[in-house]
Amino acid sequence: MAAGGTRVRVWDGWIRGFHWLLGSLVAVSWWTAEEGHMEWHFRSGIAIFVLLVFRLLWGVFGSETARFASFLKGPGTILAYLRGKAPRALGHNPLGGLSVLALLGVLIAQTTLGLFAQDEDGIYSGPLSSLISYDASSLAGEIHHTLFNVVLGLIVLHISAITYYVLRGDDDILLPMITGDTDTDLPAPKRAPAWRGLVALAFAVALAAWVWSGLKGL
Amino acid sequence: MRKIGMALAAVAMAAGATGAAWAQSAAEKQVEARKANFKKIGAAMKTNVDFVRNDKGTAADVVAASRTMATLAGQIPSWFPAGTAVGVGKSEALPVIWQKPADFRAAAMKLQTAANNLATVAAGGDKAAIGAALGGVGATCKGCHDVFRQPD
Ligand code: HEC
Ligand code: HEM
Repeated sequence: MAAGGTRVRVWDGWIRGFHWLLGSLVAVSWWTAEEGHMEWHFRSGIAIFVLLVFRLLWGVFGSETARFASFLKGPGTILAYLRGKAPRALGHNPLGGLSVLALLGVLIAQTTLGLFAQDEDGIYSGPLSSLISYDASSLAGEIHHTLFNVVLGLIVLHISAITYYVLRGDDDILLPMITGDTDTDLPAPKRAPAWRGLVALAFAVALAAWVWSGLKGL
Repeated sequence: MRKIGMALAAVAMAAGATGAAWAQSAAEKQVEARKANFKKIGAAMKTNVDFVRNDKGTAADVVAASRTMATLAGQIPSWFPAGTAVGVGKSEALPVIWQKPADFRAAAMKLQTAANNLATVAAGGDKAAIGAALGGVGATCKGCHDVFRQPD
């Protein structure tokens, strides 16, 4: 965004908290799995589950820039953006929206597989592995292992894109994800009330607790 | 004469190649068979974990699975004839198995002891005790794998 204008909030606290916690916990998940600290891998993984459920809810009921409807654009708009012809707007640009979709999608797949996965020895296993057979759970573990390379690839792409925008210097993209604010002459995006964030978070935690118990009572 | 000699040589080579291929496949079959056996141990492990963590099945299932484990544990050393180390088929068996056969056998016996203990404890039905005994079994798997199996 061009400098000047007034200071507006682009990313609410929920989105920023989600973003940096997710990044840190993916790193924790990778490190704990690599070092064999599986008890911590499970804790980190279930925390990621909470974040992802919250994010899906926030994408529907949350602040304007968090909503899927505000940043998921069709191919026409994406092409126009690439040719520099899309209208200026706050929040994710049309290409960034695609990247959010891809990152969330692959992390949801990774987390879901983890819940059902086991190492082939059957010693370490996700809380839902008891619902499926030994072979199916081993397979989930293998795919979980392989899919992580895709997760890594998308993260590298994500960081490269941010670095490119920062180096190009005409788009204030990094700081707003930290402070929440940017200077602009565009109108401030709508923000959702805090109680909605609390309700979404409570729902996500409750769902995660039930999953952690192995879906007791089902 | 030369023709016959060449024909004989060709036949000998073919026979040698077939013999090698046959020997190869016999070793590979050994590897496949023992992997299938280890999978049975893994499946028994899952039965026990599912009970302790998710209340799936009964303590009697744990008793049965632990007995299976103990029986298979006693056979482990016999699944490793010479010439079936890493490099043969999809084997992950490290050469140290054949360099330190006594240690390997002892590792298998540790599993057998732990599995028998789990069977006894499971027959008592105390869930917390079963969990602790199961932890003991898991440690013997890891103890052997860390030394004798190729890390991924
Ligand atoms: C005495 C040593 C020893 C003990 C004890 C042991 N294992 Fe193994 N295990 C091995 C070796 C060696 C291999 C690699 C075999 C190969 O790849 O040819 C292996 C492989 C496996 C495999 C992989 C099979 C495959 O398809 O690749 C599983 C599963 C397994 N073990 C489960 C267990 C479990 C569960 C326990 C404990 C309850 C256990 N093992 C205890 C030595 C042991
Ligand atoms: C996005 C979140 C996650 C990431 C990035 C992640 C990453 C990984 C990685 C890289 C491995 C491979 C370790 C290795 O084999 O060297 C692994 C293994 C494993 N993870 Fe996750 N994980 C995540 C979520 C989860 C969750 C939620 C669970 C279940 C609670 C879980 C359970 C497991 C299990 C059981 C294994 C062992 C499977 C195997 O070794 O084949 N993971 N994870």
